[in-house]
Amino acid sequence: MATTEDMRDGVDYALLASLRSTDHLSLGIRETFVTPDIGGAPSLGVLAEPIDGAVADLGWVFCHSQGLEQRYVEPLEVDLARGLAASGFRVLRFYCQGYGDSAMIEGRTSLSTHLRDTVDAIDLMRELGSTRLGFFGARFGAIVAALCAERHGGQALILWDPATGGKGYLRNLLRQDAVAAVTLRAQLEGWSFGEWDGKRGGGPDPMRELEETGVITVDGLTIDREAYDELMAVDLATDLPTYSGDSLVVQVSRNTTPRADMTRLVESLGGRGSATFEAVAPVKGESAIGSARYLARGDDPDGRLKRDLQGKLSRTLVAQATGWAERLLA
Amino acid sequence: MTEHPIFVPYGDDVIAGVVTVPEGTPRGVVLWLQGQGASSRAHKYRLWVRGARKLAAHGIGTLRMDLPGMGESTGAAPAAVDDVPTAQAAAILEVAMRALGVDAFALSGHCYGATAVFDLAEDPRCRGVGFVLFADPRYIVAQPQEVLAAKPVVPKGLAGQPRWKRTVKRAPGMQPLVRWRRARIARRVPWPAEFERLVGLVPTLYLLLRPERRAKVIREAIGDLGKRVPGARMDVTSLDHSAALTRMPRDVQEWVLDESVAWFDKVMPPAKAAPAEPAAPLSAGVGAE
Repeated sequence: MATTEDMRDGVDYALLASLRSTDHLSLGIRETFVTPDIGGAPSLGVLAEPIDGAVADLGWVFCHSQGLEQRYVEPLEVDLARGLAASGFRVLRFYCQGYGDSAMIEGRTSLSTHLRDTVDAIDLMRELGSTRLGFFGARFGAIVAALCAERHGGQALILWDPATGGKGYLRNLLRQDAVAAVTLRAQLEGWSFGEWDGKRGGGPDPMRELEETGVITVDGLTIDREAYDELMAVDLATDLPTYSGDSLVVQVSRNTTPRADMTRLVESLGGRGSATFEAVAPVKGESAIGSARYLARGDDPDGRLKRDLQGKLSRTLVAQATGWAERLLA
Repeated sequence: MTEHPIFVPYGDDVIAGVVTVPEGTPRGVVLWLQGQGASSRAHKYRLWVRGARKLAAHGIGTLRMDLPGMGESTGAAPAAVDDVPTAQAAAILEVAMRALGVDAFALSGHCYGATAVFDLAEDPRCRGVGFVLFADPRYIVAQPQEVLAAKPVVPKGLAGQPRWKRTVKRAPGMQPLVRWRRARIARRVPWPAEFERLVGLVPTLYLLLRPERRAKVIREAIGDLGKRVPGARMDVTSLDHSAALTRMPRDVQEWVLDESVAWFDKVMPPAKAAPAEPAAPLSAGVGAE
C-alpha cells in the first residue's frame, strides 16, 4: 500500500521504486539499479548478481572510459558484466561524476576524478560483502582499473585493449580527432581520396590551443592542462609496483602480434602475480573497441539492414574473460 | 528534481529507462529517443540528461530510455531500419505516465529513435513532436537510396564520373547553380505519408543542424510540407553546424537543449491540480516508522 510519502504531488514513487530490479532468467542473474553517492554526489550504478547459488567473495568493479570512448565501450561492458554475474560473481558498473546519469553536469573530469570516484564504488562493494575485489577496464578505463587495483588491494584485473600509458593514449586521441576533422572537411567540401590539400580539418591546432587557453576539446572530451599532464605521466608498466594479483590483458587489434607496450605491461604484471595475455582480432567488417557498435551500414542492396558491428568481438571477449575469471571462483 | 531508474518488463525482455520527476505536480512527460550510435539513454555529451534536468525546471517530467538491445535494455537490437522500437517505447512511456500521474506526453528524437514517433503520436495524449535533424527529415522514414531514386539516373561515361562532376561544381560561378539544383531535387522528393499525417495531428518542431546553405533548402522543403497539410502547426529553426554529433561544441549542444525545452514548455499543458493531501497516512506501509 502506498503511503503519503509514496504519492507526493500525484507521483507514484512506490511504483518507480518497485521497478529498480529485474531478473534475467535465461542468464540466472538479477540486475538492480543502485544510486550511491559517488565522488560526493549521487550517481547511478547497476549491480549484477547471480539469482541462485552462492555469490563469489571476489566482486568486480567496472571502471569506465572517458569521452566518446566511454559511450562506445559501454555496450561491451554490459555484456561482460552479465557474463561475469552468470558465472557467480557480483559486478558493479557505475558512473563517475560527469558521466551518464551522475549528478554533476559542470566541472571537468580527469584521471584523478575517476580514481576518486572509484573509491566510493569500492566501499559500496565491500559493504555488500565482497571481501576481494577485481577491476575491469577497457582503453582509458584500463588505466583507472589498474591504478585502483594497485592502490586498493585489488586481486584480479581484466584489461581490454588497455591504454598502457598516457602519452600514447593522448597521441592517439589527438590523431583520431585530426582525422575526424579532415573527414568532416572532405564531406563539406566534396573531395575525397587523393584530393587532400594537406591542411587541417578546421579549428586550431590542439597543442597550441592547450598552450594558449589551457584547455583542449578532443573526441567529445575536455582536457585541461592539469589533466593532460597527469595523464602524460602514466605508464602502467612502472606504475603498478605492488600489485600481485591475477591479470588478463587482451590486445584487440587487426594484427595479433603482441605490441611492444602490451608485452612490457604483461611482463610487469607477471613479475609479481600471474598475467595472461590474449590477442583478439575483430573479424572482417567489425569495428575495434572504442568505435560505435550499431550502425546502419548500407552494405545490403537496399541499405536497410542494421548490423551489430561488435557482436562477434563481444562474444569472443566475454567468453574469454568469463572463462579466465571462473578459476578465481574458488 | 529526482531521477528514478526503472526496468519495465516487455515480453521476455526488459526496457530500461530513467524517469526524471520535477518538483511539484508534473505537467507531462517528454520521451527522448536517440539514434543507435548514441549507445544509451544519456546520449553523447549527456545531451538527454542535461535536457531532462532543464525540463524539470519547467515542471515537466522526462523519460530517457535505452533502445532494445542497447544500454540496460535487453532483447535483440534492430536488424533493419524498419524494425522500429515503437512498441517498447509505448510500454515504458505508459509506465512513466502512470508513475508521474500525467495524461500528456511529447516526443523528441533523431535518426533511428525518431522512427518511433509517428505511431506514438497517434495517441490523443501526445502534445507535440520535436525532431533534432542532421539531414533532411524525410530520411527518417525513407532511406537515402529511396530518396535518391527520384533523381534521374546519372549517365555513364565522363559526364557521370564523380571527379568530373566535382570539377564542374567547383568552377567559378557554379555554386549558386549547384544550390539551385539541390533545392530543385529536394522539392521534387515526395514527403512520406507518415510526415503528412504527423503534422496534421500534433505540433512539430524541426531543429536543423546543418550548414546554412543546406539548411535553407531543407527549411523550404519543410515549408512546402506545411503548405500541403491544412492546419499544420510547425516550428522550424536552424543553426549553422556541420559536424552532426561527431564534433558538437558545447554552445551547439546548449542551443539544441534550450530550443527544445522552450518549445516543450510551450506545447505542454499546465499541471493539473495536485490531489488533496489526506489528513492521515493512507497506510503505514511495510517498513514505515
